[in-house]
Amino acid sequence: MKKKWFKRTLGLMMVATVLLTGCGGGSETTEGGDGASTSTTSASDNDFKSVETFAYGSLDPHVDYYSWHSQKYGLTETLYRINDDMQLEPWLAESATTDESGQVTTVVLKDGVCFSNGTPLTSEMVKRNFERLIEKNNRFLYMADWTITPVDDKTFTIDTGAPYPTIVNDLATPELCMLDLDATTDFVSNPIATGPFKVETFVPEGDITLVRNDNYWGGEVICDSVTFYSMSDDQSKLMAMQNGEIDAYDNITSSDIELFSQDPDTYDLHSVPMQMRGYAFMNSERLPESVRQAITLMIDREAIASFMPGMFTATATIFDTDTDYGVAQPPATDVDKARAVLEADGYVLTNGVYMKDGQPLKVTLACYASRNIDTIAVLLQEQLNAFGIQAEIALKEDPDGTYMTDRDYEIGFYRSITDKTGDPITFLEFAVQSSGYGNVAGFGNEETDALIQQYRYEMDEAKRNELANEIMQQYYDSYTILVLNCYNRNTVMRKGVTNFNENNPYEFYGVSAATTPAN
Amino acid sequence: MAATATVKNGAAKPAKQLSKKQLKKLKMKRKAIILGIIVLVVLILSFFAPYFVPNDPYASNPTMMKQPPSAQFWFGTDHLGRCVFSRVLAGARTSIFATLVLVIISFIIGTAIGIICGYYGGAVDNILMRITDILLSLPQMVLAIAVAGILGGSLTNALIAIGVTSWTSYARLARSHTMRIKNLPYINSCRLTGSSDINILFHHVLPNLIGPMLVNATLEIGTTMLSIAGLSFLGLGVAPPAAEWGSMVSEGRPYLQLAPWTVFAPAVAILIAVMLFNYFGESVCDVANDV
Repeated sequence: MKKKWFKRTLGLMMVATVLLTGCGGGSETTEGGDGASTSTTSASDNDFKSVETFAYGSLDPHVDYYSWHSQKYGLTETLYRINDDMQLEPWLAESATTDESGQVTTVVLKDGVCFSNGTPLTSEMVKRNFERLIEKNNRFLYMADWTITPVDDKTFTIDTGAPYPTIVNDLATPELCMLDLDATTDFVSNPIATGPFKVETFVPEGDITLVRNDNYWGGEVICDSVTFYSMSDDQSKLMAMQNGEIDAYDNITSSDIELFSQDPDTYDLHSVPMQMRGYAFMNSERLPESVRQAITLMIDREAIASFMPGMFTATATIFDTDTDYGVAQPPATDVDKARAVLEADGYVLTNGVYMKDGQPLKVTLACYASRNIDTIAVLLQEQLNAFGIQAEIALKEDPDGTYMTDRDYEIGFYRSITDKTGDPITFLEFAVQSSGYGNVAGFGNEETDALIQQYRYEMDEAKRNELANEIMQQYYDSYTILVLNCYNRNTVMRKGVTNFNENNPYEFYGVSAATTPAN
Repeated sequence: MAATATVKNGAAKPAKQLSKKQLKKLKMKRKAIILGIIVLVVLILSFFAPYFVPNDPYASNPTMMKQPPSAQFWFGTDHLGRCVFSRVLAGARTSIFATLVLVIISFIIGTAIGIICGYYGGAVDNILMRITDILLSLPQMVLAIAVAGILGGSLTNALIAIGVTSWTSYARLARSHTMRIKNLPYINSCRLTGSSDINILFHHVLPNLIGPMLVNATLEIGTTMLSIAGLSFLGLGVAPPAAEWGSMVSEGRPYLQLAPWTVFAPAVAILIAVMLFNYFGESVCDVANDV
């Protein structure tokens, strides 16, 4: 019996030791920040190493959202790109000119652009890439109505069939990257593209290593190779950075910002507001308008943001308010008005809880643990409880497989890039339009759909902005969305690392020919 | 204490030898009683914890985030400025009582199944024991994670997930004791006097196996507590912001380097509680075996 007791106690001690050792390791890493380079295991002084958060099984950039990764790795490039100031600028293209009708655009490719195998990029190949994208990706089916006509090797026209004011924005979408469709035999693991790097090894849902493209059309490529380790855990990424295993990574957490900022001699921190918003859908089929309106009026976004400094800024709007299409706004916070709205609908505050017909007012917050969304939910829950609405949290593994699909929620958190190419159309089609994937709160209607359709083909910029604001005001007035914050793209780089697109608000830009590793 | 003691043959044994044996028994009993009192005190404290926490365990405060231990906050504050000491106390109630509820339910279900299998045998025994074999052959934590993942994250679902397999040890033990007891002469006598099966099971079988079953239950408390904490750590237990030791360790993990107390406090609480219940279980086991 003694032996048994001894074994059990020993087992417990081992568990405790493992736990405490794990914790202790973290602390040691902090102290060893300066000596991190001693444990670096880089094969060459000129290799750049970073991490990839999401596991995915293919590099085919025309499929799904894989191009967001391949472009970040410096593998694929598009005809246009969005610069750090959110302005469109030519990349593989020299120019794009739309005629007066607004439906025919002439695109001229840059001289000397070629794939990593040395084959020049031609307008015929561009046309075939358009066709493959339409075939492989449902989100681009609308391009099937376009007529693309090569004029010569470097020039082609796009006839959209109707005025299409955002054609150049579309040319900058990462999915519309150029591949050598003749030479590529393995689209999943080794697409041949125009970027400064080409694939050396790719493990589906694992690591990827790219090596310098010696035929790069854009000039000298500084790094010999680029490696992105597959790492989804924030703590692992933090320790990989502290150990010197990686040179840089983005989307760092609030606590990591605090940690890295304590060691400015070792790390450079960069923060730039993204076009990614965190928001919550309020299901109109589950919550009456008075409750949705009251929640919109009582929320204190600044208080929520104050808990995660640097991670995001509080905002009530889907688009930046300094843009011409970001004028529409939801009502400002007014707790007294929120109470008046509920009381007008028959709710009575009893013992700190609003009651109606003898039932307490309860809501469930469906959320998931990513980008501090679960923490935001906890803070919103606290505000709701203090206000008099009993809130419970339902933590889900993944929103897309649960409440975004079955709509079984009352308040459901989500985040997305709302202004993908410097134009509101991305979000309008995603959440406002009745057929949009994000129309899960019961807003979509024919009137707004007609306005969105009108917006899509409106050429006059002033009129477009007016339409965008009208649509968004309708959306806000439905109280089906509660915008919470605007995420920052936070990037940490070891001293010496440069040009990781750290000042670009879009996370699908990363490694370039000018990127330099820490060494 | 008597100077001498008689044994079966009636011969007197030296007083010193008998005293040692008795002393050992007394020590074991005393240890079990002391540990029982400590366990009782912990249970009472954890039950009434919400009434004497120094701060609101759920009140966030942006001006007090990640504060180190101090006179105001004995175990410091977490990333939302909440008092960690208050949360550990509040979490004790969740962690300990959820464990006890699960152990009691598993005990009842497992014992009932074990007695039925052991007493009746035949096809019922074969079917239930093969199910038990299957469940025992699966890694318990992996199965619990899978079940909790399907059911969704909540304390109730976590208890169901662990409970799917936790009854099996009781069933095995109860079955083997029942098979032994049912062949004893007094059970046959009962049958001859016309006692019903229910009467025999409740009045003659159950009282004779309840002792070892209770000992087994006390030994399972520590393991069950770790399982619940493990699921909560993985986000499959209590929903935030509820205080529970496993979820507190998980919540504090991103702040390990900035505020290690947010992890250490609940982790040490788990460690102490599990050791205490295991130690108590072993003591009860020692006393029971000696009796």
